[in-house]
Amino acid sequence: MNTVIQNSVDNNLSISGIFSNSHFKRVITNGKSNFIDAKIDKYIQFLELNEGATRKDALKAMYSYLLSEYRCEYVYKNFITKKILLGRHSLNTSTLLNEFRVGSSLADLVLINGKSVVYEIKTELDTPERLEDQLADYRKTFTHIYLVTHHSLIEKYLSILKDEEVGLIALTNNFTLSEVREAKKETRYLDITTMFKSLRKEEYSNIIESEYGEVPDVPNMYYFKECLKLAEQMPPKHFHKLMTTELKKRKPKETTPFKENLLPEYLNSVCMAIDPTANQYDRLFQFLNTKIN
Amino acid sequence: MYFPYLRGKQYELISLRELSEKMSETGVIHPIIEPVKETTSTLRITCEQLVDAEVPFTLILNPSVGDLKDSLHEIIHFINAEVGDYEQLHLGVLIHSNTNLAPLNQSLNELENNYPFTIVHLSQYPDTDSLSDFYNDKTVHYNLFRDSNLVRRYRRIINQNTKVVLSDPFNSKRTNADYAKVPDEFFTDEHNFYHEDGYIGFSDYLTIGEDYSDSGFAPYAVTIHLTYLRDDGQIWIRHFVSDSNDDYTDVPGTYKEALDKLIEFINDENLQSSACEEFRKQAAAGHYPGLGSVKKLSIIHHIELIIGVLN
Repeated sequence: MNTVIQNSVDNNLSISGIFSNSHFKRVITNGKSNFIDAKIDKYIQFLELNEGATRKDALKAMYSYLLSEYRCEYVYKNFITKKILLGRHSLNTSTLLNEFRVGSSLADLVLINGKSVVYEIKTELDTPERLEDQLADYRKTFTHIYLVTHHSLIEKYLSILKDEEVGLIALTNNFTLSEVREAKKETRYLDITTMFKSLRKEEYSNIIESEYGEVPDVPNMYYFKECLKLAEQMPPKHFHKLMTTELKKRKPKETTPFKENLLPEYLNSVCMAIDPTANQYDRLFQFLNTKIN
Repeated sequence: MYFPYLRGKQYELISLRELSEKMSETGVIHPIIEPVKETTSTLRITCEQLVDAEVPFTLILNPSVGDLKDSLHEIIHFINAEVGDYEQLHLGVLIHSNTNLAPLNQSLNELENNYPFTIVHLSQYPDTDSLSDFYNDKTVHYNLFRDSNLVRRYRRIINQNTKVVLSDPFNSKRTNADYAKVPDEFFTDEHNFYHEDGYIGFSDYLTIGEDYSDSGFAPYAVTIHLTYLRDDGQIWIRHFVSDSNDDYTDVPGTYKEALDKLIEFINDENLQSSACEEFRKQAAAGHYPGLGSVKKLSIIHHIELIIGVLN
C-alpha cells in the first residue's frame, strides 16, 4: 500500500501554493476557499488521515510534506515568525513586518524592536543571484541583517558574503533555527531617501511633525517632495530611530491568537501577513475545524 | 449617432452623469452600459439621471465580464425596480459563441415593461436559425457589429437601418510606461466614413479599451490619455506619461509630471472642453484628485469631442 505523496515538481508547487496569503484572505473574508478544498480533495488519499479528520489535520499533513520534501520560502518564514513570536521577543515589544518594500527589493521579514532587523531567506531552491543588490538596499534602511538558509548551504554563503556584518542563521535537520554568526550593528549606510520611501504617508508625516512641529502646508502634488526635503536635513541615524518608532505601530489587529498560541503552527506567518480581525479569526477557526467528508 | 461602450464601474458611470445634460441637448450620443458590479447605488443614480435628462441608453442584460456575468435576474430586477417604464431604455444582449439565447429569452418574461433591443454581435452565433427566432418577437433598434462579415451573413435577419460599427481603436499596453514609446497615435476616423459604409452609427470602448480588468493597484507610472481632432479630420490620441516611474511612493507628484505635459499640449493646441478646463484647474491648484477622476476626465473629453464632430 502506497499512501505517501510522491515527491514531484507538480506536487511540490501544488502543495506549497496552498500556504499563500491570497487563499487564506479568502477564507477570513468569505469563510471558504475552493482552491484549498480542491487541493485537500486531490491529496486526501495520500494523507493517512483518521476518521473525522478536519481541514486543520489535512493542512497539517500537507505542511509536513513540505517540511520533509520541499522546504520553500514559506516554511522558513513560518519558523522565523514562530521563533520571534514565541521566543525572546514578544509581540508587546516588537513588530514583525512581512514583505516590506525597500528600494527595489522586497524584504521577506523585518523585525522592529528598538533595532531594525531584516531577515533575507535563501532556501535550497533559491540562487544567490540578487543577494548583493538586496543587501545594498537593506543596509540603507536597517541596522541588522540576517541571512537565513539551509544548514547545507552555510559554507557556500559564508564564502559569498564579503560583508562581515551580515549575520547567518541555519535551518537545522531537526527544524530549529540556529545562529551561525551574529549580525553586527551597522549604521554607516543608512539612507534617508530609501527609508522615507518605505513609509506610508501617515508615518512620514508623523516623523516630520515630531521633528519640525508641523507638516508642510502645500497641495498634495507637492506634499511628498516637501516632506522628503525636510527629512533629508535630519541625521540619518536620528531618522532611522523615528522610523522604527513609526513602524512599531504597525501592530497586528488581534494579538491573542499569537500570544495564546492558538494557531496551528503552519499558519503563523500567513496570519501575521493577512492580519485578521477577531471576527475573521472566528471564520478561520470554523473553516479549519470543519470535518472533511 | 455615437454609442460609447462603457463598463459600469464607478468613474465610468460618473462620467455619464456629468455629461447627461450635454447628451440630452445634442441628441447624438447613446451610451451603452455593461453593468459589472453588484447593481450599486452609483448605477441606480446614473440611470435616474439619464432618465431625467431623457437620454436614450442601453443596459446590457448578459455582461461578459465582471461580477454580474451570470446575474441576468438581478439585472432584470434592477430594471423593474429602478428604471420602470422609460421608453428610451434599450435592452442590450451580447452575442458571442457562448451566449445561450433560450434561457435568456425565457427570463425576459420577468420584465414588467416592453423595451426595444440593442444587439451587440461580438462574434458569430453558432446557430443562425435560433438567432433568427430570437429576433422574431422583438423590436431591435440597433445592431452593433465587431466584424463586418457578419453584416452580410445576417442580412436576412436584421434591418439595414439598425447597423452600428463597433471597434476598439485603443491600443492597451501592458504597463503605463509602455505608452511613452508611442506617445501620439491614430485613434479613429469612423465619424467620417460610417455613413458612407452603410451604418447609422459607430461605437467604441473610448480611451479604456475592450480588455476588462478589475484589479486596481498603485501604478508606477501615471498616464493620461487624451483624444484630439486634427486638421485632416482624423482623431488621434496622446498619452502623457510621467517621468519618475521607478516606484509608487508619490502618486500625486508623479501625476503632476504627466499633467504638466498635458497642460503644455492643450495650451499649445488651444483645446477647449470642460475636461480640459478641469485639468487646467488641477494644475493651478496643485491638487491631485485620484486616478479614478483622471479616467473620468479622459472619457468626458472624448465624448465631448465626438459631440463636437457630429454636430
